[in-house]
Amino acid sequence: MNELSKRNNKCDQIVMELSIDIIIEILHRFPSKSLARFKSVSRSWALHVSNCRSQRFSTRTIGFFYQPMRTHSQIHFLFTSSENKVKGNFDESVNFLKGCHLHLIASSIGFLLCCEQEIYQRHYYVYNPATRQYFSLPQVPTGTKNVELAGINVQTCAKYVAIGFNCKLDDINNDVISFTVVRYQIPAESTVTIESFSSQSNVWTEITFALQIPLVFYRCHYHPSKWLKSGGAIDGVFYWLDFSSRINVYDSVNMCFWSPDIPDGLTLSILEISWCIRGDPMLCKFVSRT
Amino acid sequence: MVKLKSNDDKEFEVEEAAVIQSEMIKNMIEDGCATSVIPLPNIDSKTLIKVIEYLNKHINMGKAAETGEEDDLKEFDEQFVNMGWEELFDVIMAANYLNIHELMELCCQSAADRLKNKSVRAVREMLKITNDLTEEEEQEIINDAPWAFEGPEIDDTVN
Repeated sequence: MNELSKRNNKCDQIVMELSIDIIIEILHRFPSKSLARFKSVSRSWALHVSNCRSQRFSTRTIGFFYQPMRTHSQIHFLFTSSENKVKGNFDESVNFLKGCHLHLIASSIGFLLCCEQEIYQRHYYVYNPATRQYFSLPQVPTGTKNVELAGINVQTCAKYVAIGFNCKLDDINNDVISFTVVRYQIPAESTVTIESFSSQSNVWTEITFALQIPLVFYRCHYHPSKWLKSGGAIDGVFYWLDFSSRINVYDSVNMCFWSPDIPDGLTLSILEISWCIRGDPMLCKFVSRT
Repeated sequence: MVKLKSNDDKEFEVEEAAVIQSEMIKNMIEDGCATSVIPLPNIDSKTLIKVIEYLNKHINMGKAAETGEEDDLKEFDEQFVNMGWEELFDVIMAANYLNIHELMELCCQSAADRLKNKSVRAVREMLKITNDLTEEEEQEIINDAPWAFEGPEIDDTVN
């Protein structure tokens, strides 16, 4: 008994001495889910968790790239935090191909996917605006489908595509990344051809899937390319929300494409989550459907 | 050699190259305040032995990268933090007091790893924190992010 109470005393003492600095050090190392839960530990934890989360947001997000939707519009950067200006020669206007107009297509962990064309995208670049290094992808091979363009029959690639772009940091000190780009033509018909590029293999590969449920795309007078630019990626699985309230999924690891059923009554909303946001307000705000 | 004295009056001799990983002691030496024994009133001998073990192992950390001993050091670190919960906190507090950045980093990460999947109840118990939120306030936090309170990884045990 004596031993036990002595132990408890010691334990209480330890924790009393645990200064708030140390608690904050530990909080900074929790994943987001744990932080959200531990807000309910006590009043002081609620306060420190809130500070920790806002710090995380402001240190990790310094702003975003935007580009008005008119052709050949300049790309700009908007700093949303004044304290975290990027060191060195940060390229705010994405001008690595001197004078050549580029379109922002997608972004992932601070790297940009750009393309010279907006429709019939073929030649992509991956760009690090912080170091001004870029990588030019091999051109997307032309498809077998013949399309009449300006009266001439040409072999061409997809006109409008849904893009997924995912970067992984392999070496944090030297900015070594590997990345995957996947895309499919929109609107899709009864088959979907996924074209994917991996920096590890350095080639484009093409896989065709027959769809059990044809994808129906939301009909609107806007250009389809304005609506479905890029998808999000989690652990090598790409997700696109289409406007028929369906999520289209491509698993680049197991190489399958499908549309999961959405439970009745679920509201889907889309927010352009990536770092580069197109200048059109339609893409910057929430679009919800019930 | 630098002499350190724990709060239970035990003295330890440590090489200067090892001990200057502590910012606090480094400053004392630079200011000429470390001529005899440095008393450490906040640290007991058991904890101080652990800290010195760490300092001696990490003495040539810069060299380790060149000689390919990084893996060895990583393994040592993994073994090092494999200690009891209370012991870990003693080391964290010592590292904080002595201002040993790398050790602080290592131990706080270990503490965070042990706590991150714990339930709220388990965290309160492990850190002896009294819940001063009202029931309504607590429910409001849960309602704000119900997903944070659900999941197979959440562990209600205290250890």
